[in-house]
Amino acid sequence: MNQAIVLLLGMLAILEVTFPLHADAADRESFIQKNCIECHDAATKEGGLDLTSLKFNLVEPDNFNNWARIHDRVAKGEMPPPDSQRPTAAELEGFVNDLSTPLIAADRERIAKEGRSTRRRMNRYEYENTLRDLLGIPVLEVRDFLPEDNQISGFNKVGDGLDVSHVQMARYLKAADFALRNALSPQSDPIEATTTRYYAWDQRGFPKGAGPTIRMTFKMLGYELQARSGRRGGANVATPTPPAPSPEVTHDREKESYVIVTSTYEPAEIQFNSFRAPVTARYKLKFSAFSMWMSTDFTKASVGHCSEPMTVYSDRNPSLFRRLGSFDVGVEPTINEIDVWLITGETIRPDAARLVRCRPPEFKNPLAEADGMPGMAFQWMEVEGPLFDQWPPPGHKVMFGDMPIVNRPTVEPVDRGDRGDRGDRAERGGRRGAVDFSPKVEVVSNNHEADSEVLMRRFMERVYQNPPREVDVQRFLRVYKNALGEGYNFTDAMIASYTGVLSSPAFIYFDEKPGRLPGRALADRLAFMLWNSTPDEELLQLAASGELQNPDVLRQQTQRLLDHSKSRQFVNAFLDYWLDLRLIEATSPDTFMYPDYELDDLLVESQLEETQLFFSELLKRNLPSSSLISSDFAVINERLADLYEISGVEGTVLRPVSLPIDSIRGGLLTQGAVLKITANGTTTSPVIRGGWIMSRLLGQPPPPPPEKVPVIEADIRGATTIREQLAKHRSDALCNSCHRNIDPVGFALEGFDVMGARRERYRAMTDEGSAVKGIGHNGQRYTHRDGLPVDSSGQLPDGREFSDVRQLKQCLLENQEQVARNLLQQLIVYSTGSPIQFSDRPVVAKILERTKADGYPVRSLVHEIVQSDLFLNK
Amino acid sequence: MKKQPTNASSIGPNFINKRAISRRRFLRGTGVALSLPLLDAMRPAFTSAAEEAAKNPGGKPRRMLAVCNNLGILPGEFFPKNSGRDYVASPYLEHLQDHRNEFTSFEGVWHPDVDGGHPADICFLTAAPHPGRGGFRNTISLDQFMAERIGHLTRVPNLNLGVNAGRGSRTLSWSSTGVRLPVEESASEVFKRLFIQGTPEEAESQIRKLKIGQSILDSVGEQADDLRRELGPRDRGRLDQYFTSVRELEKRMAMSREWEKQPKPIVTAEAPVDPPGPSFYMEKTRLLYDIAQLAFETDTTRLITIMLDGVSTPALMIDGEKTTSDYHDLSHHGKSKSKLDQLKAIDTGHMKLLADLFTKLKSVSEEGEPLLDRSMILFGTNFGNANSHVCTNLPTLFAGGGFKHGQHIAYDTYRNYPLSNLFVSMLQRMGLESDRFATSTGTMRGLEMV
Repeated sequence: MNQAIVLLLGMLAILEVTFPLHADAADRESFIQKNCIECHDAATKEGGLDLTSLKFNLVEPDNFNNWARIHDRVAKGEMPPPDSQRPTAAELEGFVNDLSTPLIAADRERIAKEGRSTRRRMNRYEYENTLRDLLGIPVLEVRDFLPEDNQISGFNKVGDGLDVSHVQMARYLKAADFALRNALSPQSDPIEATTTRYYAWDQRGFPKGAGPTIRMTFKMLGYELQARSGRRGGANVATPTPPAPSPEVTHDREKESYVIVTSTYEPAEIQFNSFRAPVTARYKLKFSAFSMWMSTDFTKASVGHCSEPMTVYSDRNPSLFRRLGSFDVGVEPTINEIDVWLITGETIRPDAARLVRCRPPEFKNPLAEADGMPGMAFQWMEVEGPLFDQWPPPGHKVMFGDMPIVNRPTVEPVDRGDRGDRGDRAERGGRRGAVDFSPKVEVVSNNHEADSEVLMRRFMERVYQNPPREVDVQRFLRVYKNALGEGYNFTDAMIASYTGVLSSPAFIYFDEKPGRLPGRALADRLAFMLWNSTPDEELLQLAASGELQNPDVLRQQTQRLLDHSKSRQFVNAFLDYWLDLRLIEATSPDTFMYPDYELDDLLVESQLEETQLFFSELLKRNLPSSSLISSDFAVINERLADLYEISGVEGTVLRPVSLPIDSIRGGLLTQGAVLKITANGTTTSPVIRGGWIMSRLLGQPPPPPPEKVPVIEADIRGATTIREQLAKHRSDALCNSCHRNIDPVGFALEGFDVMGARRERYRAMTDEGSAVKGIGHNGQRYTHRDGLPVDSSGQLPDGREFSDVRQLKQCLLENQEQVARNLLQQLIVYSTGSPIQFSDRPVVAKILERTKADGYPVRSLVHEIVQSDLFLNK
Repeated sequence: MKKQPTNASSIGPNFINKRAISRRRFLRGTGVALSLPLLDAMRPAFTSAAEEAAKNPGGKPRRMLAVCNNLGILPGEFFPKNSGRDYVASPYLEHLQDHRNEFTSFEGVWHPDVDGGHPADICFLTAAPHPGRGGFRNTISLDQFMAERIGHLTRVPNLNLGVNAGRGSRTLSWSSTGVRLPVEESASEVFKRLFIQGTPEEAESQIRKLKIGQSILDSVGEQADDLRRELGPRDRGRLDQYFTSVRELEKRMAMSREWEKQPKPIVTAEAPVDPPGPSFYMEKTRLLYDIAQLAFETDTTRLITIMLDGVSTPALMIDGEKTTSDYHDLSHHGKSKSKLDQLKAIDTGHMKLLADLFTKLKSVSEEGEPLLDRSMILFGTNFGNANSHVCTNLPTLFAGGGFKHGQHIAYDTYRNYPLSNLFVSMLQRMGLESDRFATSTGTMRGLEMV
């Protein structure tokens, strides 16, 4: 020990150079000598910490982090260990304060010098949204050009994680070029919108004949099924057969329909294929369809028993789908309209989403009853479009203003696809994968040199955060000139130079310098927080005039952005990472154990939307943060109500529904999306679910397991429950030190299966136990066995006991500040692009204090962050 | 097809072998003439040691050929009864025993959640889950992931080939945006593209594009250099990284431009003649293997995929006779002996073609090492059992490339092991720093590099 003191004295001498040795420092040293050094000296180095060699030089990041950790362990009461001789409360408080003051001071000094956050670039979502907004094409797909972004502190928003590789660089060039070419006007003259009705009978995308009858489609007139005409395997449909409609139609076309009793599964993929979007634009789509009832032998049709949900996807070769919307189809012919953006070459694929997805080799229908099964009768689709709000389209104007446009010589006029035969031609082109994205027009410039300069300046002013520097204007004009020299025409040469601008650091990096953010940087922060995209004109003007820095204006803009429909991009981007919602498709219910969920897109799409709309609701109504744990409503539709065993909710539209007082639902813990993401499709684990809730909802991430500890292997044979396996695990004191914190929360969620339905027993894959038989959503027979009963009870580390998830929620609600603090910190990371820093703590504490009386309401937390120094400074 | 010139003087001094080989020999597949190792030809342009090393991230040129037969391989005939190094060869693997120490067979592997029957073939190299569902979108395939990183090292970044590939709809190769990269089917056309000089205009147009790309990179690089000067050390680090990436991409573009100027390698074999129709499925497959071998030998590309689309294959010629029905129908054999016998004949044909390919790649050496040891060859399928369309327990064969082979590795046949782990092992063998791909959980357990 003497040696250590000598060492320490020597160290203190060094210390004085970097940090004045005053009374606080002396107190600190004497506290360490008295309480810590016995275990944390050079010889013992308990937990790898040797206080005799640890300098006090907070300018070094590692050194700072070590002292911050010492501070935290002591402040939490974990050190000195409870079983040792503990210092008095006053001594402890003194030590903690003596440490936190210099830590905060050092942190603030660093932040003043270099800022809280590291310079960051847009992530792939932000880049896509920004190009969409700048070029006025909300369906521009550039995100997938760019590689996945790294996460730090759980988000894709932190500069230190947003790397650039040569692959990323090459992809920027491709993505920008793709975006700009898409934004070019599709032809010289304005395109007139037309309205065309596409009858299902006329579509080659409707007749389906492969495989058993259940996978086929059926022509129907009124409720009379029509004969099939010589298609493979279709012989067993024997209705009275009126002749196939001849070219001169004599019947009432409104009586025509095509019936299907399954939802989409190859090869039963129906399409309104004689329509293909001639250009990327907005369209109005109307669908006429009705739900019907098909007899067991597929020979008779009658009135449907209930409405059916229809999901509409767009479909582009090769297999690129986008979900456009969903609605309910009634037993009477129902017309539904959706207002959508379509991409050149896309066709429309409707899906009777609730019906069985018939997967080989079994072809059974779980929805079948003694007298038949539900089906959907598609009548027609009407398309109004393409609709342009201005001409030339806005993205074209950003590039070329109002310069005259001519069609390129080789290009045919745009095919509107408004007649069947032309549509067929478009289809054949599409089948070859030959949707042509090459530029269709060029601009006419009589003075290349002058025009290029004017255009370049205007383009850079529009897309750059700061006024372009002359040297940069010249740099990108050089690209234009080189391209012209290589034989490019004016238009293509300008696009080449714009590609450079959209790949340049001044575009992709946020320009934030240490200190107070100037107007534009602040506008960017606000817009990239609440829209996950670039600011709009109003925000830019307030930034330019300096008014945005006025707290009242900033507050009013925060309100405006939150109330705008684009705030959904905030909700989605935030939840994608905070709650891992982006991973909702990462695993799927096991084919053999959970075929009743297999390929149930309607369920998964509803689950995702539920959690997003739930958070939107908290923001909209400024509800307390504790709603994340428990709420008296859920945002659901019929499919979710079915999963949650809630009656009286019909239709596919999600909306807030009041929950019965004793409901287990309400809050995030019991939402399908959360329960699905925290399971693996086959089994659930209290460790995974517990750990996830601890880190995501309570802000207490469990430490990683020690090395060399075997993972508990899931056992679905049914002989033992995960709880029993964990009990063994927890009898080890070392394991128990963490698992007593992690597991209990997970135990309460054992009452929910891999998709979030309530369960009383586990499912088991074994030969014993009573068999449960059924037919899955995939049309396959299944048998699983009732396994052991589920036990949802547990005990929190502080001794409080609960018997199920309802009681667990009550326990968690006793510490609302913990839930609010976590949400606040997640929002700070997301919105400022920096992990939580030591010196943030007083700011966080102050915000919590100010919002406590109202229950830390969610929208108020957003306002508080925006008005805080953390947000207003780099 | 004209015979290729054999005069090397127009190319340079780096020819190593110019055996004149008759067309018949080429078609028999017993040997192929070599051309120059192109990297040597380019040496003057890239001289620093670091650049030398960067050319071969794995220390030496590494290659990959991935083949998927989308109608499966009869599992009972393929899987040996016991695993390990002393496995007893199954009927199928019996045909490969001359190469016992050059390949590994796997049992109990799958791509997690890649189901949906026929559509699963397009996920063989992507492992994107649920290709049969409504909102499916594919992800980047292994060959494309590699091509982005090493594609510039060869004249052609990669080849996507196919046999009867559904009139262009089936392919193993998918871009990062989930876009299908269609296959080439015609061995003669691929041969022409790889080994017959193109027009100067084509090269010029490509060079022009690359020049403009470089001009863009100059501009953004200069701007990055300006901006970094205004920043503190931490922020500057970010711009430095951007700047470095720009420089790296510039080098790659410069190499691509060099490739455009280099004449194509000359092989003395005559061009292959495409068989007259899809029923010559086996012959088409063999010709593509010959192309693969040629492309590897000449280092024209290091990445090749081949989609063997049985679904679109009619009754086919096997052992000089036509099968009784189309391949798809055979695959739903329902345990019919006649169908099973024909399937066995087809599968056996594949095994023999592979054995020939291994023999040939072994007989050619590069820097004193058999080419096979530098060529990873994956042969597999999306079906564990085509009869019932299940996509688990995929029969999978992996040969060459510098691994310790000679064993049958069996994983849990109920809880399957992710095949993407093999992809991670392959990426690492390529010398690419990757620790995951799609649904991987690590590298392939039990498979070690040499």
